[in-house]
Amino acid sequence: MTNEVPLGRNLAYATGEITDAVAYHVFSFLIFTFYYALLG
Amino acid sequence: MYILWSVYNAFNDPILGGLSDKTRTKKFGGGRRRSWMVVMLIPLALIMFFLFTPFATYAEAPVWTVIYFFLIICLFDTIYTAFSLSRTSLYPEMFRTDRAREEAGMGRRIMMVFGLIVAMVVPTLIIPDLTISTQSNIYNYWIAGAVLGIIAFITGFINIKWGVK
Repeated sequence: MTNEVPLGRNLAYATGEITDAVAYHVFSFLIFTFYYALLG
Repeated sequence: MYILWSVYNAFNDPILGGLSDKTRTKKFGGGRRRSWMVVMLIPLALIMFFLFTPFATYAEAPVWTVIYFFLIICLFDTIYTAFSLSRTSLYPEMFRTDRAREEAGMGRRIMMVFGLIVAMVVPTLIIPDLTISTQSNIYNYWIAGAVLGIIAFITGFINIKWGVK
């Protein structure tokens, strides 16, 4: 069975999920901890 | 501040979505989605560091800290939305059939879990106690922001370079 889209492209596209997850997590968790608990 | 940011966000997302849809360019490798991703990748990595740099505590400069907080979360949201919205929109555009989406979806889910683990573990390795209000701990947040920004840049670069058709 062959992949419809090349495996390399699939993996490379999927790697962008890490960008998304890391950025969103920094925003939703770290930033509010930083300003409310640490600076405030 | 959080309410004001939510109001900003209510306009930010649909406006950026419309702009991404209407973009027609041959710059940055061509394509309406890729061009937004290329333009926003470096700002996204940089702002993950600058989220933590108001250069003052609330006790030292309350007005400035609040203004900085509001501006930086709005700016972050704009950049993050422009990048992420374009990236997510590529999924149905690149993977046209159910089978192609199934194959790509599996990789997406695995990487998403991996990304969440990285996002949870890396800050706690760099910042031993998240709530200690000392200058050295503030520097720890700067380092965490920089490291996570670099990770976001590298993975985003791989996505754009080899994962966008």
